Amino acid sequence: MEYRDNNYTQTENTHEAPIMVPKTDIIETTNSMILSADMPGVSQDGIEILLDKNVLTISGKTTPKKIENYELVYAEYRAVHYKRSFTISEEFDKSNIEASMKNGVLYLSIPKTPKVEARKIPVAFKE
Amino acid sequence: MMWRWNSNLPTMFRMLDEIKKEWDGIFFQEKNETPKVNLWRGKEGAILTAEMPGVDPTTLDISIVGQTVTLTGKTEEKELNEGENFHRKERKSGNFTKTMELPFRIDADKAQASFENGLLNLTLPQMESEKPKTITVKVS
Repeated sequence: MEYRDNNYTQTENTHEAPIMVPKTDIIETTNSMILSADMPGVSQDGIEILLDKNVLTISGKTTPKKIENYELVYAEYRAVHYKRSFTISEEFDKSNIEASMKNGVLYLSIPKTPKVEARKIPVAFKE
Repeated sequence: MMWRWNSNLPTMFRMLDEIKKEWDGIFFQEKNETPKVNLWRGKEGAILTAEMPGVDPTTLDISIVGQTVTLTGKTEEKELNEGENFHRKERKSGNFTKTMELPFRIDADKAQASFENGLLNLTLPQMESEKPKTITVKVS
């Protein structure tokens, strides 16, 4: 099955629901990286954020909707699995990633590691 | 944007149902626009669900006139402060409006809307006077 192609959504059908890449904004601030991803319909139970070494994977599941006594007659969207991975450079503090969700958008804040000042190391001369 | 339901559609939907069983997906028309809408039909009227990520439900305006329903709203727009810059900008931002025409007059007073996880759920009951009535035939 093929869907209309566009720049930023990709679907594949090897899973029970098509995998979709969530549209994401990435903003770099002076001391962190703010990532916001559109994941409408993903509830608290459906979201998963995984950090494996330096690869951060966000995934979210939406469940197919069923309404009793109603029949779906027109559809522009359907249940999908959102999934996307990002590689995080050494510049960032991976142990302090904060995540929150509001109105179907996942927000991630990844702080930058404080810069370590270059310092001279004195050499002790021994005779 | 407007889509219209004409009188041939019930027949078409029956045909579509048949095809749908054979080929899942014919029915699904992905559109790259905000908001994406699904429409459900029942005896009491219709239920409209829409994907609205990043939309503050308090700023969403739903207007119902006769057979049409119009959704007007705004997705959050991130203002950049000094020293901030976009590495990637894929999400839509700004104002949107979407109008749909239903095959019946909507009882606007009984319409109900809820918002959860970026999904709008809008119940659009059919006017009582327009619901089909059963007439029993008296046999004398």
